[in-house]
Amino acid sequence: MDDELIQQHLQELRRGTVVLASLLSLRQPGYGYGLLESLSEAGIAVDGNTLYPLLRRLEKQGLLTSEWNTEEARPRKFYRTSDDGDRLADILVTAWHDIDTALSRFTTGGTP
Amino acid sequence: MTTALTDSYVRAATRWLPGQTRREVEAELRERITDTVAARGDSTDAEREVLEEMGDPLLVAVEYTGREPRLIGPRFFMPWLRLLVLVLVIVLPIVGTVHIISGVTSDDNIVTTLVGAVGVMISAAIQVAFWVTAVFALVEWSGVGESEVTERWTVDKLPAAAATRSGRPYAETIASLVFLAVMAFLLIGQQTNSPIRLDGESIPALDPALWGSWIPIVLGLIALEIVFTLWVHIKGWTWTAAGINAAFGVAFAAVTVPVLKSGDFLNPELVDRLGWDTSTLDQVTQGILVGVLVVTAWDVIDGVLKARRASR
Repeated sequence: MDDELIQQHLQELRRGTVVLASLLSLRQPGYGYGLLESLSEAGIAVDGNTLYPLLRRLEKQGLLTSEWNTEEARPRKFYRTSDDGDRLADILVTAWHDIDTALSRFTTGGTP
Repeated sequence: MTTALTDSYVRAATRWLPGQTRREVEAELRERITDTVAARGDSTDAEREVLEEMGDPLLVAVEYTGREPRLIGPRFFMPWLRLLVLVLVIVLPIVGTVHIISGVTSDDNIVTTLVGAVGVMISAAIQVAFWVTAVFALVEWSGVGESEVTERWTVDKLPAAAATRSGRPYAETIASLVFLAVMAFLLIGQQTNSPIRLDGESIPALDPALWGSWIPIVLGLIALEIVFTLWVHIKGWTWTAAGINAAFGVAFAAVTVPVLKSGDFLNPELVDRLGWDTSTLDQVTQGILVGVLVVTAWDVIDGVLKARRASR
């Protein structure tokens, strides 16, 4: 099996998890690069080319709110998960566990 | 640390965005670039590396604004394709026929006319394709109806099955009509304004004596066949239609074969000028005879096959 194919499917599988991880992490306000680092520390590898446009999109959908912090030397856009984003994160976490349960039935080969 | 390189990158990415969005994206990009460069040691090399990883600024702008870089998206692809094919099928035969008719009625050589017709049809096809596509691309980019829920697809939208549809496809009817019209014009044109030229003199291809018999009869048959084609288009191929089609074929062969057998088909003057002897003339006439029989037989069979397919 060729490596590119593996990467492509891994990326597809992870795509939704980056959204969920961002919503969960940004319950504490954070800015783009800070989030990128904390996600990769937590073991969720994500590219800047993916994350930055994603944050913007989530904000447009009303799942994140933002505020420019100009107190420090460099102005930074701080994002925070909105109430809607919070509710969505809870739904996604539940769904995530359901999928995990469902899949483990197949991987263990038995019936529940 | 960022330099003029970052400035021009940001400008390139945001220059096409509308006012408020431009300022937002500009500020976000600057933050992103500054932070990423700082994390990599804050050097000009790092800056170059970061910008190159981000890639084409126009695509970055596309990602930030969510407008996909495409000419015609899935929303309009099928309507675009259908309209394009429909317009081409209608316009090209008309353009080609008009060119051939005007070529035959003027002094042009028949080969020049035919080649010219192909050329005219190609440029017409390019024009049609361009304008249809341009209009659809404009509608796509303007975002008209983007938020509208696309009409739900139901089985009722399937095209009617071939068996239940009475008429013939337009393309076939149009092709038949164009063919008949071209035949009629060639028949008249070869006499009044022959494309065959020897020593600068226009010589009719067929025996002028045929004006008194064969040519008017065949023109009459062509006229009847045009009416028949329109009738089939409306009523569809029935066994009656196949019978009439066969009768046309038999009638055409019945008037044409005796003329060919008598040897008075081609213009004697032309034969004389070309310097053909009797055996050459016989071979040419035999060839035309076989051609007429094969084409007629095929047309009769074709009608029967279509009637059979439609009756299922």
